[in-house]
Amino acid sequence: MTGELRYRHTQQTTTHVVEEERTTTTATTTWTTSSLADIDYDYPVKLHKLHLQGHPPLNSLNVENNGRVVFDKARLARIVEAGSSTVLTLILTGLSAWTRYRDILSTNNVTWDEAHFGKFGSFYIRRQHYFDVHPPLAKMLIGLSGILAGYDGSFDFDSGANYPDINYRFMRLFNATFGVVMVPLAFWTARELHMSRTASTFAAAMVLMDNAYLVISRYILLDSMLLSSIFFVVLCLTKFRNLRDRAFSTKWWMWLSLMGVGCGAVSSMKWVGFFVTALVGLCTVEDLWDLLGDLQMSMTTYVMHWISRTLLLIFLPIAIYISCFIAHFRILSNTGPGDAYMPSLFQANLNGSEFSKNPLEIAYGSLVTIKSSAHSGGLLHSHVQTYPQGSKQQQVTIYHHKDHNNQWILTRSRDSEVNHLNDPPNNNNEHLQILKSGDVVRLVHESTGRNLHSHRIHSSVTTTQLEVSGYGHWNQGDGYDEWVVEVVREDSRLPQDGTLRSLTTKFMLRHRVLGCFLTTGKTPLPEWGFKQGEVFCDQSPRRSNKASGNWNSIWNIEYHRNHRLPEPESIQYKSNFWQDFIHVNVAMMEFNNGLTQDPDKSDPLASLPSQWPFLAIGIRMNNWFDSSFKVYLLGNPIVWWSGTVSLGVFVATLAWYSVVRGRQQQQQQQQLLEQEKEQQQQGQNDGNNDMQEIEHLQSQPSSTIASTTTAMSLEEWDRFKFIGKITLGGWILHYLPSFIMGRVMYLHHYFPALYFTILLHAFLIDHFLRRLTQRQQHRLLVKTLVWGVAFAAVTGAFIWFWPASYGFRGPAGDTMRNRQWRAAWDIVNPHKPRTFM
Amino acid sequence: ATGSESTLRQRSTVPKHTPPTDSNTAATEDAPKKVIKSVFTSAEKTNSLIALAGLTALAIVSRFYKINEPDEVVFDEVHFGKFASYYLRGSYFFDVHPPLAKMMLAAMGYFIGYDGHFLFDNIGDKYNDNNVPYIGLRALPAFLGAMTVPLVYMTMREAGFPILTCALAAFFVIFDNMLVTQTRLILLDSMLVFFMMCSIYSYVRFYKTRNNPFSLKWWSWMIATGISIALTTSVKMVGLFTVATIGVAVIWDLWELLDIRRRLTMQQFMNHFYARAIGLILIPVVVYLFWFYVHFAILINSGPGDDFMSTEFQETLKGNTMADGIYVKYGDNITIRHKDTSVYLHSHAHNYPLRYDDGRISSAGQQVTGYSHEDPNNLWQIYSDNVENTKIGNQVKDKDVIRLLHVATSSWLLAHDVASPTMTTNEEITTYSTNEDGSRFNETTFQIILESGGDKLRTMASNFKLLHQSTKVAIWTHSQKLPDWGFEQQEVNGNKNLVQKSNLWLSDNIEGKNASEIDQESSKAVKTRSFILKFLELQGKMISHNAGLTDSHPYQSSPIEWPFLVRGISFWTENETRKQIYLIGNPLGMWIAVASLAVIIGVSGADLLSRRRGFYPLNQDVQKRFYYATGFFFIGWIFHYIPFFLMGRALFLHHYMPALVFSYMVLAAVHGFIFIEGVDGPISDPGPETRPRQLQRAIVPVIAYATGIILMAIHLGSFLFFAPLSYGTSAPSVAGLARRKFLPQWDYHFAK
Repeated sequence: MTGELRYRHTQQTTTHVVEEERTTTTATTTWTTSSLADIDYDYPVKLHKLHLQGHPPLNSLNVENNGRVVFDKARLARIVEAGSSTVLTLILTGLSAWTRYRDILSTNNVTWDEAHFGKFGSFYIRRQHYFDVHPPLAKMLIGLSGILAGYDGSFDFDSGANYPDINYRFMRLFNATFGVVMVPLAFWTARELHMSRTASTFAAAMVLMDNAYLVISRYILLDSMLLSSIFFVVLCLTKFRNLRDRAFSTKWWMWLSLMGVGCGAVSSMKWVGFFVTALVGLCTVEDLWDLLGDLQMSMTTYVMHWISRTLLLIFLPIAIYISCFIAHFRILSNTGPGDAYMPSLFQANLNGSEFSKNPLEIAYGSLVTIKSSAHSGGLLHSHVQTYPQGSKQQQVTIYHHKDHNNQWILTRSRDSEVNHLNDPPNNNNEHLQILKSGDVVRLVHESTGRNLHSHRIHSSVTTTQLEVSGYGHWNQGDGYDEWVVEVVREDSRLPQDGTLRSLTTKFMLRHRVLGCFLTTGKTPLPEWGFKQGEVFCDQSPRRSNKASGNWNSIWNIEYHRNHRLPEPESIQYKSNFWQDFIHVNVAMMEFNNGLTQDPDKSDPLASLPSQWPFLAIGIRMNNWFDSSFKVYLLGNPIVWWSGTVSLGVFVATLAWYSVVRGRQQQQQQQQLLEQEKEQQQQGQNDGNNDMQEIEHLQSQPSSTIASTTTAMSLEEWDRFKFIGKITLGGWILHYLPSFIMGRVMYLHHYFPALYFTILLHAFLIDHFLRRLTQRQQHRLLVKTLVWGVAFAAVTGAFIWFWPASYGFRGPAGDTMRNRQWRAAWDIVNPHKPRTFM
Repeated sequence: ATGSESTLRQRSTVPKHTPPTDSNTAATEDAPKKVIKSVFTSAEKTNSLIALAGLTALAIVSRFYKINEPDEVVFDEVHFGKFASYYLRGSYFFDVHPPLAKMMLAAMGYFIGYDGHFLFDNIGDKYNDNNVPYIGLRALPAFLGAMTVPLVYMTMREAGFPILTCALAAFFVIFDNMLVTQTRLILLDSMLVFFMMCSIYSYVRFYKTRNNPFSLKWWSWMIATGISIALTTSVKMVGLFTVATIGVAVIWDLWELLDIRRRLTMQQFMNHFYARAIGLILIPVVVYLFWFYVHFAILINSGPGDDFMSTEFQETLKGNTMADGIYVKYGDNITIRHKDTSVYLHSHAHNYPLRYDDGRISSAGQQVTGYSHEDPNNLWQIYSDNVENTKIGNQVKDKDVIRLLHVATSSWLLAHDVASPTMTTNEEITTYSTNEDGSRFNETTFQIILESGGDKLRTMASNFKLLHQSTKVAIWTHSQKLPDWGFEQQEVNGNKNLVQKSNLWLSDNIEGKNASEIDQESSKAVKTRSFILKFLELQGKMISHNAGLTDSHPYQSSPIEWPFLVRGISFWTENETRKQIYLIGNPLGMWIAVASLAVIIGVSGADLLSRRRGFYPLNQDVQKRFYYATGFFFIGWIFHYIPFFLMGRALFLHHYMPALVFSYMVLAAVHGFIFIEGVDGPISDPGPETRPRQLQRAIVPVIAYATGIILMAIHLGSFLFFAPLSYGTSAPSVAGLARRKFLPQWDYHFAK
């Protein structure tokens, strides 16, 4: 890269060495200054723009011979070319629409993850707050489709339930439309990657006829939106790259902005979008690195390159991502099932929140729920189940859902020195005392009557800390049941006088005997604790924790009831958007990581990443009863297998080319040595010039001798590497992280990575055909044969798996026996052997 | 590509930047091809030797100081001491690490007359009371730990650094508390680091002979490198990181050779390639396998590792129980034992409670449990599923469908779609009396699937699954105990995950077979198995068990904490004297080392950027030394550190030891880069085609010595401050411990 770039600029300055080659090099330098479209026959040209190109397309070899004739032929070819591209796009889009839309109501029940995403859409329509691991954009779009369909959000999308009388047809069509768009996007991307028309059609055809892309687009899911956005970002990336010689032109700005919008949108749909954003980021860094080596460029221009990209590729996507969350919070203004994941103050602002009836100040005898202030913190919870180890007393955990077991009663200490009253709770005769910082309380679990208790026994997961358990009973226990309230902060404008108030007061609970603090752990409990959060008593000494604070040991009162306290006047609680935004994102991340597979249970749908590239697994989308209608999510095996193989072929080819280009022919070596000798004799230049010239010499053979041998031209080699970076890089970024992720994985997590193998596959066929047929007689015949076989194989496999994708009835064995190409597919037999690949 | 251009550039242009500093060897442009043997004068060589000797002596003292204390088992001596004993007894054991280091310990024990009678069961067991020559056993790791120091010194020296820089690196390695603690105990890491440094040293020597390819010296150092990396890997699989470090350097070197300007024909290049393939792949593989061969040759008796291996493997061990296996026939009364938890499949005349504590309802059928003691209720009679053709007397074969009759209560084993007592996802297993009608026949048939031991069911030898025919679950048990109603026996249930390893059962006895029958049937001879099969099996088991070490340990830490020394490991404590050994690195030294790593990244980044903009800030030779020597050590650090981030198993601070040694070498090199002008060169051996080379010398100013001494003083001070915790020879007071607690996470004992 270095040598080639510098070569372009040294060309004008160096004089004495290249003098002889002038005649040939001028022709090759043209492409750097004029539009790519002028010399590249594979570059797409729009029909209506043809007449604007006043000058004939230059071809380095033919211009001098007989310019006129070539010009006419070339012009005609370009008109045909441009016209056929438009026609092909239309045909492909038409086919795509037909395959995606046809028979879309074949399943009339809630299929697969429609149960989730349809439900989330309903929540937007009902404006009820919910929580999910994915960012909101795609689900808001589903909600939008529901509104457009006239759906009122009343259906719960229970898994497998039959659809009631709602227009789910429109909602599915809406989703399928994103699937339709994928095909033309793939075609244009391939064209921008300088693939031939046939190869581009082949790439688009593979997207069109991949059964997995087809099936996933036909239901109310996020994936079609996600995939089409990823396709769009890749298109922007290639388009933008082709405009690199026309920096700061209107088109350049437009595609840069679109790329930023695409990155923002795709990241706001699923976090998988960060991977394609990372691909854009890496390409940008490489681009800027190349530009940095351009010593001719003024610093102002270079800084402009930085500023434009920072604004449009960093700030714009972030703004989009944040706006999606603003919209999300604005729309969901009613309470709903996801409340418990959010900070108490946020919940208090939702319509219908029961917290508005909270008495403001807390007193002994109050019934409360206690919320952890940690990001993704839940409610202090206990249940009858006991710890299997340690004290074997009742478990105390953190729970993210509202539940009767979250309720605690704040009770006076048994110690008469601290407290002269020792009455059972809720005693109306008790002297009403508002809690202040420093007061000693017992927390009695309302439904089991146990006291919140800690003792010198190691906690079960965080073994360096002390266990917290439920112990004793209302009137039975010991001094280890007592906790001191330490108020940390008051979030409202009320006086900071250490009074404990619901919602707005942040406090810690210090164990009265041990001096440790009630704290939430980071790792969930094992199966015996139902994967709820760990609670322990943190005994490490704290440095000024009140100011900075370890959020894991700070709590606030969320729900509060005490019939002896007055009902509050309505208070408007302020909730900070940024805190809520960070909170919900941290919660999403932790929840996502928590989606782990229990080693003792097997999820028949889950798969290992190693099983994807060779399609060792499919997914049953419905119940597999003989009588039911069954759809099997399975890729087109030809597309998947050949795509994976092409990765290997590409790496091998790249290595081979690198070696060959490193080792030129014997004569070139001779030539080079002579030049080097000459150079040393001349040796009058200073150091830097010296370097440049040597570098120049290094890059010399590849460009001058390229035309005499079969070696690739610099430009072709450059393109080869660029396609490699996009496709191999994209595949690696979208695939390898799944090995590191701890969460449970499914087949459809591979779909974005698949796209890159499809592009690479089409490119490689194109590339080898071009190189093979350079000197052959039967050029057309070979091409027709190869492409014919390729298209036929993909189409054949697509049609063969047609019933699996569009669904079938009756016993699976009857229809599908011949389609069970791999034993590991559970298309017929429910018990599949586990395969590694 | 930039790196390669810079070196190539050097070959073709005469360096202009450094004028010759040594007048008597000044080579001018016109000088004939005078070949320089070495840049160092004889006085320098003597000084270097003196420094080397002094540092080695210091290293030996630091490792052997009061090596007899404590005379108790410390931390992982529990494992590695035990394994040495097993070697001496010849009884088969299983460990996740390859055998070499443990065999070395065993060999040491053999030489000093230890017979392997002690099993190192608990931390704190007394050696003297048990008559174990532990000093001799500890001497081996301590010696190799000490010898790492001269290797580090010589490696740095061979890489062309001045005496000061080399001494600095060696000094830091001597007085690091972690390296001291870890190498003076019966542990493997001392061998690992020693062989790792051997590999690096040999490779540097090999690289320096590159101008005389295929010479005797070239071959010798290459093969030495190959053997060293094999030895490193034979100690711990972590040695693969060393292999990767060397591998990357070799691939880089080959890529350079491929360049046309090296003027090698393709034939010559392939010769280079084949030579390296032999020396660095073939020989290491043979050496690695050799140790396994020895391993199997020594461990010929049955031992605690039997259960980890397949039955075919176990049959090769003397005294194994497999050989007693006899074929099971229909109609036999057998006991069925769970492979993982060693409980018998059991049933008794008590029923499941109709309603469990959590409100779920059961079938209230007869309980089927896992019971760990021998009992008549463990007996099951084996029947065919075919009522007409009972097959009585026929041998039970793989994939046969059988029924099991509980002999004591005369009822059939049965699985059905009712949730098990503790797991709602699994099926309840119960029995069904023979007195009732046969309507539930289909629920009592199980298919027997043999996983090992041939295709006929044999006691002891065959591991099998019992697959319920109608609902497709496997009979399974786990260590969960049933409540009082189940007499705290293990729960048995039907597992939907059919591939789980813990579904395996074996039959360990046939009731009523008399001794003569057994003698007649069983084949007592120990079988043989090809080495390669045994090796492959063991290697596979090692890898899977290593990945399976995910149980959390109170002193485990995450890799990101290591360079900053966030946490240590408590190795040993003694309550009466309040002495303790706490594994922790030299905090100041390690923090300085981390800073130097950051310097490397900063300098190379700045250099790359400025070269991109056409400035060449570094002198070519300095730059080359910076990338080729310092950079190589830095790559070593990266390769011995970063991969840990991808490992799922429990990790400990001592896994950072190999990387730590590299970080100290980088530290010294960075010190030299900052304070020393220029480099000594050339250092590689000249070859027949070497062009005349200019001699240049590094200038070591006073400030370099001053800063070097300051660094050493800081490091030594910090070492001595923490020495009581590293050697465990004296107990610091509570206040003393508090002073030594630089970070709150350093959880010492007796701190209160």
